[in-house]
Amino acid sequence: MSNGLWTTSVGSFPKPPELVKARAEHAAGRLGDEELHALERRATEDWIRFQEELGVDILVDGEMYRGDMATYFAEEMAGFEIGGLVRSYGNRYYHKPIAVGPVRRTHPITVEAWQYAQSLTERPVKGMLTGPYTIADWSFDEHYGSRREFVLDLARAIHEEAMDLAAAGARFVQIDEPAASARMDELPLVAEAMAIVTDGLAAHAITHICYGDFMRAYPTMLDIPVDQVDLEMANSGYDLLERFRDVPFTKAIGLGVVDVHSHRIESVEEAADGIRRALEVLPPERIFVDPDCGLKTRTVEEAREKMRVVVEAARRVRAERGIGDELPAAGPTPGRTLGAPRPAGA
Amino acid sequence: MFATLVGAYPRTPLPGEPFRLRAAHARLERGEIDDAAFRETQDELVREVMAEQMDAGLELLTDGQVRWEDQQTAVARGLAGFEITGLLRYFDTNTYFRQPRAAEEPRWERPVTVDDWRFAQETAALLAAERGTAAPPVKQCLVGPYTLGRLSDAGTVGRERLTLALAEAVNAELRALHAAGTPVIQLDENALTLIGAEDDAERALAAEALRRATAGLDDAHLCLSVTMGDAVAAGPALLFDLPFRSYLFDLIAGPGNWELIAQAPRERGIVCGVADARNTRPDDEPVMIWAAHYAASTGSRGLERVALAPSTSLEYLPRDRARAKVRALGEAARKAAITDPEELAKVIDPRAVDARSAALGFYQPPSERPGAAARRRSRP
Repeated sequence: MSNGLWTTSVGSFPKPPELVKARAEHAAGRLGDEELHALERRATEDWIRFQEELGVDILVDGEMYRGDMATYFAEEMAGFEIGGLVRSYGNRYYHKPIAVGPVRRTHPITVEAWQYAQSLTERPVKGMLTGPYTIADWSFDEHYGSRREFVLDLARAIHEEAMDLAAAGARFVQIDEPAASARMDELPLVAEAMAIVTDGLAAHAITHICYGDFMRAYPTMLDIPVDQVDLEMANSGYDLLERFRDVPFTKAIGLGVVDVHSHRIESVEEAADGIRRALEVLPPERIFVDPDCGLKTRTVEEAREKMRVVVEAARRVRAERGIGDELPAAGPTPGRTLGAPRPAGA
Repeated sequence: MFATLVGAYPRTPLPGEPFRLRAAHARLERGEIDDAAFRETQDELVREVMAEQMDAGLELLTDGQVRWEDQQTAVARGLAGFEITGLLRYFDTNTYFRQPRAAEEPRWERPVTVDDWRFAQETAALLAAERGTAAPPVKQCLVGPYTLGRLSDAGTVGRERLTLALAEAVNAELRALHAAGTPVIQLDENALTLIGAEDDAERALAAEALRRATAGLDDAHLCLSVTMGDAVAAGPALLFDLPFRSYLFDLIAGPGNWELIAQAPRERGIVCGVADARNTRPDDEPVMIWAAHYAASTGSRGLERVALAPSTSLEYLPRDRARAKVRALGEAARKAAITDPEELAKVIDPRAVDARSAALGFYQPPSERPGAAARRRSRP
């Protein structure tokens, strides 16, 4: 029997209202670090318990202690200051970092939080990092003047963090690069930086890319040296899967089957259909099933329902096809070094 | 010579100020306030951002587009035939818009932006009266048919039909704005930067869409704005065979646009997008002034047909940084208007005044240059 269609999520879950309020109180100086930290841990535990009870295969800590995914890392590194608010979309805003000097890691950033989450469960918890290209692209640069130098300095910092996570026992490490699909001419820089991040990393390395022009980014995105590329698929109608018929996907895929920017809860059958479409072009042992992106912009209830759909859809298709759920080995796979298929003789 | 925005301005507050718009938005979503109360908050923000432009010395204002969810949906929601769908990244930014999807051929049924423009023009008049100055003109910006068509999901309508239907709809909106008295109407066609050298079909579609969109508006001041890259491959024929009186080019993300400026007919106005709207680093004032003077020199255009602007929407910056950029632009435009080199040398780094000063490291008046006495003697 083959194994596959493992369920997971992209990283973030919504913060419960009491934590949202506490973060605002903390920012205003009316709540201490310890009190906030205790609430973050409680919320983390709630999400770990929820994922366990639901039967998710690879868990995340839900990022209860993070704000914006790029700003969180910039706040913890030397060389950045945090700028004012800019708009992301609709009524959503974030504080955008500014590089004002050489950027470098001065201490482990996510390891303690990962260790806490992992201590709560026997199932594997993913280490969650933001990739160097995305941190650079989503920051202002008043120091480098060269995007490449900025990105590669960040790659060295994120590499240190990834290695620390693996040393602490993380079997899966995800390095999110949502900005990677925005500039086709810089995909080689994304790959160059990721080669630094994953160099010698003894864990299943994943990168998550979303909300870009996948058709143009494919198949060059396969040159990014990771074992798995996690893609937002439901929001784009699974269009990219058709390309895999002509140009094979050489890595494992993280298949987004629910749209994270819609309040609508998809039906289990709708998500299962997405998985069945993926199975037409990839074997089950190279498919991980999850939402399109982090669920933090949904309400707690919506996020829970969407995760339930993800898990039940994978379970339904596994039952139909006789697919098991034994987890894969966590080290590097051949897919990490396999890039885009080249024309014969190239 | 003046300074203007590309269009949008941050709707975020200045440091330490309450974020009233976000709070009002949240209250509207929770049903705690109605649309009219929310609009009052927006009105107040329009006043604030227009006052900031005036105080910085900008002479052609916008309402900062602070009411708009984004450039695409603001127009698409006002037309019949569109539905609004999932989020899509806007070019290579970290800002997202909800993609319009054509359920049928879109149709213009009523003015989409005229009321907002009227409010902004009235606001400019009120602000000017408070300051005892003349009311500055307010321009209205509008996404062009090619860009809206390219960024939308054409559905079963198809790209070409959608784009040409949008051209007719945009034409109706431009006529409504012109009839209302809008002094400058700017069409934003950032998707022209996506046309490649081999994309003949795209070039032809863009040209036809813009021809239809601008038809019958020869007496209006229409400005074509291209930011987020260069439109060199779209080509000068496409851009300059159309009845635009002025062009705004992003010269930071698209330095190649200088090629187009060099080929722009001399009677057309050029707005140089020289303040980097996507980085907080302060811009070099002499470079901005040089850009204005260079654009003025192309085809002997003259400074009276040149303006300065940010490279694109300032919405990508925090409010305080955007305000600093706008102030710097206003100041650069004021100095760029100085045509006497001796006067200019007093207000900027003298090495930026002309090539001779750059070589010498200081400005040397003609009367003190070698041979000046002999030249004076040889004059009849």
